[in-house]
Amino acid sequence: MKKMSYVKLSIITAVSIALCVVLPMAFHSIPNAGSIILPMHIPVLLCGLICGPFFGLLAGLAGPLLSNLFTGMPPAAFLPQMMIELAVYGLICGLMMKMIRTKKVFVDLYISLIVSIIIGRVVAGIAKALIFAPGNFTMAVWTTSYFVTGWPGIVIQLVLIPAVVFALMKAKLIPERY
Amino acid sequence: MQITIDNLSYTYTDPSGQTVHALQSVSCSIDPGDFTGIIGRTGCGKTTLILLIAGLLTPTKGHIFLDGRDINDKSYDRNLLRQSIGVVFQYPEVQLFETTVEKDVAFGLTYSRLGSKEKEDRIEWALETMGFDFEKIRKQSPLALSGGEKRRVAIAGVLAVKPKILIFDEPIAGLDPYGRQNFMELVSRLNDDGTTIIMISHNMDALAEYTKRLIVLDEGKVIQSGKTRDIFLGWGRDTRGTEPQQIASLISKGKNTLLDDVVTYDDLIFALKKQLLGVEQHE
Amino acid sequence: MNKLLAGRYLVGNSLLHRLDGRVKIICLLILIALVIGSRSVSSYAISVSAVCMIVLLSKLPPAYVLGPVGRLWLFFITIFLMNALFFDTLNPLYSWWIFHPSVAGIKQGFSVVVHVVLVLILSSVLTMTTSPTEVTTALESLIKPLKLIGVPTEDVAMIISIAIQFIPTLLEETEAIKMAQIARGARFESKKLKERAFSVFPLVIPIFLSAFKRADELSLAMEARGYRNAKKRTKRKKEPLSSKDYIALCICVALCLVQFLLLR
Repeated sequence: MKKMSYVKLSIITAVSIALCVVLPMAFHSIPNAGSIILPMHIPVLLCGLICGPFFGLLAGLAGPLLSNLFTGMPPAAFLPQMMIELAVYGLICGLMMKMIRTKKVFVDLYISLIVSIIIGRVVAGIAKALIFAPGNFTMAVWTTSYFVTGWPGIVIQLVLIPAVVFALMKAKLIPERY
Repeated sequence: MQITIDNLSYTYTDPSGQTVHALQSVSCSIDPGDFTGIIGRTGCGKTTLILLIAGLLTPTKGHIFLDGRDINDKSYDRNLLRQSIGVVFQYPEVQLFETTVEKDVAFGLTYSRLGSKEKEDRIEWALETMGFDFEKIRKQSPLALSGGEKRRVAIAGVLAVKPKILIFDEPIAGLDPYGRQNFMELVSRLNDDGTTIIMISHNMDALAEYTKRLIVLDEGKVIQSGKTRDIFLGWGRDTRGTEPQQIASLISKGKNTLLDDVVTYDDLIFALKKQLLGVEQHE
Repeated sequence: MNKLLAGRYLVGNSLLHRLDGRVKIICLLILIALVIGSRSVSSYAISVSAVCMIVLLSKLPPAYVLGPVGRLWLFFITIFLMNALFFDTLNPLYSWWIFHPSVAGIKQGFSVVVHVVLVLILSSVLTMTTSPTEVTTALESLIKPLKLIGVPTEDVAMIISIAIQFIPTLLEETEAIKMAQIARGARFESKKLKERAFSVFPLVIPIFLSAFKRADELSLAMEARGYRNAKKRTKRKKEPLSSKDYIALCICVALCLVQFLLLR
């Protein structure tokens, strides 16, 4: 597999961060799509999958921060937990892609995505509880409610993100994995 | 389909807070089967005009009538609008996203009420019209094609809908001379078959040779509209004319006999033959 | 100033506008600690009056500052109830099914809401008195110590700068793609969930393709010019801190000390 240069990985990360700001704006005018597909998650997950854990982590931290600075979304109240959640997504996705090599790109992507989303959501749920409602019972409530309400978005992401990765490979914008 | 534009205005606020009057009281009409070019300087409102005609923007004031019906009226069927008007934007290859060429071209037919056999026939026709071998190209990934092929697939995607009106925004920008010629001939053939063509272009020669009418915009207003030849001849000695006109003008310096009636390269060749060889008939 | 790139920044000349970005961020963090540490009535009094002073010093219209707070009214009710009803399951005032409202819970709910409101106001004041570029430049300076643990801070700074520059370009591109797909018949506003969900494909895939193409072109151009990493990048001249910056820092630290002493 051909490796991308440090410069290229850096610029892809920059573009992913910019998309964290732009995508929610694009979906803002489409009623309800924003809450369903969680537009800020997509560039961060992609960045982690394609560029690795360091860049994924950076995208996860900088994306929501810049989005808040430029568009006010997410509101500052939700910013810390979003940053934590997306940082975990980017980091774990990147780590998983480094560690898993099943020789099938599809499988690699799915495993990485599912693991990072589960871990990310749990960590975010805990963070949310710690910030807003510390207490053993509330933590369980927050985490479960976060999971249950988020699942349509998760399913769409699981279909959409591999589709984007394959499109990028076909267009030769990122190297083939195997 | 008859397009009538009545007192159309479009105003918006740009990111720095300024009010922009993109179009001001524009009125014109485009007859069925017309081949109309839209020209003007960058920022004069050409793209805004076609976006309004295609129903992608809502006018601030004024109306657009398609066969007598206001397209912005609540009762107007939007699906019908999409099937009747096809738009090819600049660098249309950007819109490709499907896994196979066949699927991407089929995208525009998603909401048409055609059966699957009819859809396949349309897709085949559209791709063959754009110069592809249907069986070879259909299962390929559109994203792995060359730049030129991508553009042709994107245009096929719009053609497949068989719209009665086709709008092009600077379609030959970035094409080599062969590409330009092939494209303009294709569009001309579509026009001969009855499709109304509206084309924004900066290429005066292409417009001079193929279009029947021109609409000239400046700062959001229509400053001229009419037959192509009349408009170019009116500019004859101006730098806004076509290249053959400018060449004829240079050759004419000193003697005024060459420039009359020269708009296209064919005209120029005939004028030279007339001048130098005494040929009388224009083929 | 371009409205998008200004974020929620309101141009002004107040004392807070003129403070150095780095100082503002550090003071914000100190004041957040102050707010979160409030437990007794007197410490709440200090926090609330500190926040009010900040708002006054910023010369921002109060309605604008409280806007973000107001929009989250439903959220505040939720967290209040989450705490009031679930916090203390051992000494409830009353029990019904899974709900156990308690005095401790109500107190907790109230204090969490107050804390969040105050922190929101403070961070709003920051973003409203500091342009996004100032904020990111300040952050780039503040993360420099991370270099000691191996974080390539200049590269991080450069990536963020480039990201900011890409925002208007990608936004334009996204709008163009949206129009093109709508012209082709894409339906983003359908009532059916499945249709709406899948309508995002013709939008998201081309957006990423286009964005990655630009990334490709830019990285090629940079590498062709011999670029490897940001270490040799021209650095902006840093402006030294002025007396008002130091005073601001001292006041914030002093407030924290007072509150800490009060706790004892």
